[in-house]
Amino acid sequence: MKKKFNILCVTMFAVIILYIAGGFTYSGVIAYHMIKQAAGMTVTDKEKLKNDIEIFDNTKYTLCTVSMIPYNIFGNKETTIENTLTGEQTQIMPVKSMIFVKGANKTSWATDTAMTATGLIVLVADIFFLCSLIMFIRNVRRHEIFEWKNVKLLRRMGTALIAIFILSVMTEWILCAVASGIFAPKGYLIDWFTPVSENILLLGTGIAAMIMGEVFSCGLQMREEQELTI
Amino acid sequence: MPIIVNLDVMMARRKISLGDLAAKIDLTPANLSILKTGKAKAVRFSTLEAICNALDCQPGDILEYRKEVKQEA
Repeated sequence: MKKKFNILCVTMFAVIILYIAGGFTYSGVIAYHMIKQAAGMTVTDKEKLKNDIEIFDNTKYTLCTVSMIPYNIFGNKETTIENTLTGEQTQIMPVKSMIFVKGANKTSWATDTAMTATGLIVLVADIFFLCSLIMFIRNVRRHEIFEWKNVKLLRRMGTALIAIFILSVMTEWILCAVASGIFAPKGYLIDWFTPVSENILLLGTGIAAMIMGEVFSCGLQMREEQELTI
Repeated sequence: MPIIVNLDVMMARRKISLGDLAAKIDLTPANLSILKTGKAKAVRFSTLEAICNALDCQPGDILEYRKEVKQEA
């Protein structure tokens, strides 16, 4: 039993590390390609690039990433992209795409503050969840399984995950609201549901942890009744 | 809790200590103490029978029901 438990714990932490590393790996791949591209550039190209990079200057412009869904599926035929395998321009129909939206002015301080605050709270909730998980695993390894402290830890883990879900969705919806204010693409809708579907596992896992906490609580009450039956 | 255990009253009437009663009914003093102090969640009929036999009394002499009165705000 202990071997299975250890394997599951190691797998759990591997998944968490993979999730964190995935984000850094994606940024690393983009950075690698950007550096590779920059290494082969002429002075003129670099001058032109400076102007292009300006659009990513969030001290001057509103920047947000949102997901778009086409509603005019049969009408959107203008999008083409180069197929590097054949060298030809190929027509594509993006079903769902993430885009950078550049607005005329910088986002308001209220929006920036809200985004920063939710980001910090999510970070704190992540650390809180990890600490609770480590303490729970430590208690189980010490054979302190059906204890009230584990009920509290499970409830805390569930609460943290549900809070992370709510805050992550709120952050994405703020971006959608900002994008809706400055951008109305022809034939596309801004996708408000993707943030929910991307984070729904967090909500499910959080609720599952709360359910486990209640199951432990019921079990402990039954054990107490049994122990206090004379 | 609405069920009151008056074991200490009966023990005083019969002039028997906790340890002696526990030995008589084959129960540990710790468990008997849990019953005496009202912390028990349930009592088996076999235990109740043993106590009534040892103290020569009725279950009603040991257990009493007192309705909880909810205080109105």
